[in-house]
Amino acid sequence: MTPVSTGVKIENIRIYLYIKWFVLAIVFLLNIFENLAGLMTVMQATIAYMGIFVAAVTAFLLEWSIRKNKLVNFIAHVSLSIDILVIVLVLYFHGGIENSWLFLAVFVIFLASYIFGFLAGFIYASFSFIIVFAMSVMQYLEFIPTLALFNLPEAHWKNIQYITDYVTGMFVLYFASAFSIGLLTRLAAQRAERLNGYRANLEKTIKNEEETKKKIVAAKEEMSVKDAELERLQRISAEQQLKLIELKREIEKLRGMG
Amino acid sequence: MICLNERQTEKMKLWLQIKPWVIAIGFLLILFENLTGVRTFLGVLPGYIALIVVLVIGLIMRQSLKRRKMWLILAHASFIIDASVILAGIYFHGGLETPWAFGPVFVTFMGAYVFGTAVGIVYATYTFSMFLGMFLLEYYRIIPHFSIFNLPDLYWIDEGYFADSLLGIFMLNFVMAIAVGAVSRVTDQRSEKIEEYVRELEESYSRVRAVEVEAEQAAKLVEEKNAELKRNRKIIKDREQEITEVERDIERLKKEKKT
Repeated sequence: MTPVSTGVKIENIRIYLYIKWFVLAIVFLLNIFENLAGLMTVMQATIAYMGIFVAAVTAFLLEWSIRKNKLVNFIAHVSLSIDILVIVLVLYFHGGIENSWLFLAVFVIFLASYIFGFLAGFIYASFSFIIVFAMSVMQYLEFIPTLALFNLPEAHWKNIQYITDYVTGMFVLYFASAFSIGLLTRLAAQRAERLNGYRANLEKTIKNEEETKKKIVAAKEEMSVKDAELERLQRISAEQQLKLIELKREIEKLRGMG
Repeated sequence: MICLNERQTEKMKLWLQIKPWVIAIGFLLILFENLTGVRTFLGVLPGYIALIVVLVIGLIMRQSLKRRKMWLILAHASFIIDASVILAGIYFHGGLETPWAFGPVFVTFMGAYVFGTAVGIVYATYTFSMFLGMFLLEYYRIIPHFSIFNLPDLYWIDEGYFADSLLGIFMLNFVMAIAVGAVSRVTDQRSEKIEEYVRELEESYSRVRAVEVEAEQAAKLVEEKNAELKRNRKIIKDREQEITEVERDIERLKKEKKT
């Protein structure tokens, strides 16, 4: 298993968790509202709450993994896949193709694309689309029962035009989102790469500056040593000068006497 | 007139590059629906018109961005027109009846990406308000409803269905605005950091240049000092030799004197 080691991915997974908690809170509140307003049965509401609970458990698991530093790509992928499965399952119990909330999977695709890039986004988009497509076909062919959400006399989930239109719409939404977020994430990653490049350059320049400063300090120290040496030599030179004058005077004296 | 800043211009350019591709995909899928008989030509016509209008606006914006800086108001107008045209397309495609009601979310998406969360929320509010307004006008029969699946009006006016759908559209738009705004903020923070590093690098380069000049001068001075020392040492050596010679002379003279 590959650990999610880079800072960028951990940062992205944290954003995923923030968004996930935010979406879960909104879905939870909207469910309560729909439940209280009598827009769904107690059974449907219970299934929705169970779905929210499972999604929350996977979020807690991820939070725990990050804290314990045991996070691996695998756990993140499992969490995202469970999110999609939970969404589709809850939607199935809420009318399936009859439900207008099939877009919900787009948030998971969004986050998968954001955390793992283009390819993962497309894989999750394909996974979501295949599940939604399979659910629609099975509902249409009555391989699985349709748990009607609105109790309408004429079920539009039996209308092939409606199903084709809905599934095509979800195809566009899922893949366009995967593409767009993948693109934005790639841009952000390029920025991060450039950022690292600039940071390295800056560190190099600062190091260079420090080394040059050290050289200056060393040169200054050398200068002071040399200054002292020069002073000593100049003193010796002056002493020699004096001695020479005295000796010359002595020689003159000796010659004069002669 | 206030213009888009550099970062917004860069994002706007990206959006204008992506836009034709999104329109092309939408166009192909509508064509597919038309050819497979899911929708009639009259049914898809509003979709084609909406896509062409959005494409033309995109191309005009792209050209104007190539020539000069884009006005902020013009960028907002382009997004609002895009959202309105998509909403008009949705209205003629069955209003709340169409599963493509998510269409304007792409405008919210890009609005939030270019201008940030707050503007994204404003676009989400605009989109949702327009959608809600359209639905209410249809619901109270103030404007006609265009059915696309030849289903009776029973379900889109069903309280459960419309409340559920409207809540869904509300959620999709607002969550997308907040989520994309967050991604955009991360990208912006990285850009800011890059700009900060570039600034620091430039300052650091000029500092290093100054320090290098100083180091060169110091090295030159050390060299000069070395030369001076060498000169002095030579003088001392010569003088020592001279002193020795003079001392020898003195000795010689003294000896001569004695003899």
